[in-house]
Order: sequence, then structure tokens, then C-alpha cells
Amino acid sequence: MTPLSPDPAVLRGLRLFSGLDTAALAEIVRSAHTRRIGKGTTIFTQGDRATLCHALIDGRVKIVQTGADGQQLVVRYIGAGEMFGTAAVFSGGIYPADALAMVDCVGVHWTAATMGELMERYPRIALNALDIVGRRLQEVQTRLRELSTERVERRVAHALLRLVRQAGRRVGNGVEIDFPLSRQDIAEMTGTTLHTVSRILSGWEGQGIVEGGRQQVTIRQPHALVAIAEDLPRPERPEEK
Amino acid sequence: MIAPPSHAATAAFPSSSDLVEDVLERWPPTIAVFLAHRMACPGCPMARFQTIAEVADDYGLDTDALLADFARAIAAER
Repeated sequence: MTPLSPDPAVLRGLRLFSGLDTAALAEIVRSAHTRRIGKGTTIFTQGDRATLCHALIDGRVKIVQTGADGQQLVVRYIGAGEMFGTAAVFSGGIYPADALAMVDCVGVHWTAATMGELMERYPRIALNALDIVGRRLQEVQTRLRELSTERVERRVAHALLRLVRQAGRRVGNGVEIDFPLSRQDIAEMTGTTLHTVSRILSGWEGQGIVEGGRQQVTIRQPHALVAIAEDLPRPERPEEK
Repeated sequence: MIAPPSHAATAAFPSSSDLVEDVLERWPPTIAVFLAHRMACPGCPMARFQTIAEVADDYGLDTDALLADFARAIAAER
């Protein structure tokens, strides 16, 4: 926690302060606290009141959230030039995760009150903050959509594997589910819609994983289906054999 | 109708044309080998339809090397 002599150059590259002139940067850095953070240091703790806006000048920080069940999830990694713990400050709340220094870092922080004053004096900072928060929100929405799609794909893959266990039959070009099976049946087995099942199966047909008639499904690439169901690394299929 | 005895019923070690499920049943020490290669075969519904050569290919493994691993694990249990 050695204090460092402030240098406006450390703020270059921080998106929060982009577009500000040298005089403004000098003022911003004067109101900041710069410090070295040793590897393994907890910079803030989940559940603590969010009183400081942090930025990383150098090093790498891991944001880790612990769920009610005790399971830990790495929410994001912070690299040089990125802000962290800031959204919690703006919303006047508590830090939603731990921030851990993965290596020796140099960090800078401002109190919530100071950051508020800076934003009033330099509205550009507030606009930059909005841009940062907006991008993060888009990332989260993309991830959320990916997760829900993946979850439904896995459910459909598991349903087909259950049917294979019960009624699978080796045929020349794969494993056939020897059972009249409509897409509606699969939708009902997996608690999703006919539309979703059709979309997923069409996608798999396009990749050559399954082949379906109206009432019947053949799995052409058994391992690819298992890989989807079990979330295994997807097999590389550069060429069809 | 009497089915011809499968290879797995008489052989000392698995071969590339054996079905995965037969290998798992006849030589339980191979379970550890599958798991060590991060293969999802033990308990998989596809195991009774796929041969060792096919799953080795699926996981990008060399079939002969996998068979050698099986043989070592089986011999170690004897």
C-alpha cells in the first residue's frame, strides 16, 4: 500500500477520462489515491458498502462472486485501463463481488463524493461512464441469451440421449431412435416450444449431427450430440469422412 | 438363433472393433482410462453403439495408444 506520486499520464487509456484535456486530467489525478496492490490482496469484498471507484493502472484483477450456495463465479477479469467496482458506487449500493489482485498491481481510486464532484465539473466523465455501463449491459445481455440457448440445446440433446438409451438402434450411418418421434414430442419432453425444437434440430441437421424425418430421428454424429448434452469441448470436424 | 461369441467374450484385451459398452463391462479397469482421457463414455447411452476406434477418433486420440492404455490398466489389475 505504498502511496505513489500522482502522474496524470496514468489516466491515459482509461475510457472514463477519454476526451478530457491535460489540465482536467491533472486535477482528476490530484484527487485520486494511487497505490501499489500486492498480489493476492482483496481490494474490496462482496457485501461491503461501495464507497470507492477503482481503476487499474497496471496488473490484473479478478472479480469473483460467491452465490448463496457458496459456489464461486469469476464475473470478469480487469486489465490495465479498466474501471471496476464503479457501477456499485453510482447506484449507491454494495459491492456485488470480491475484487482480488491476481498479480502485483497499481491501482487508483476516488471516493464516491469526489467522483460525483468530478462528474459535475466535467460532464464528459458522466457520458463516458454511461458508455462503459452501456457496453457492459450489452455484454451481459448477449451472455444471458447464449446461456438460455445453450441450456435448451442441452435439454434437447439429453432428451434424445434418453430415447437412444431406451430405443436406440445402430444403423449404417449412425444411431436411429426406433420410435415414432415428432418435434412436438421432443418439445413436450423438454418443456420448450415446437418452434425452439425445430430451430435447434434444423441447426443440428445443418451441421450433420442429426437427420430427421417427420416422425423419426437418426443421430449421425453420436459424439457431437453427447458433447452438447455434457457440455464437452466440441469436436473439430474439418472434413466429413 | 445363437449369436456368434463376440470378441470381447474371449479375448484377453480390448480391440478397436469392440463396442465401448462391452469393453466397459468386461474390463472394468478401463473405466479409469476413459476418465483419465476425459471421455464421457462410462454411463453414456451411445456406448453400446460405438466402437473403440470410433470414440478414439471422436476425441482425437490414437486408437492403438488408447488400446495400449487399456491393456496396461487391465494387466495392472491381474
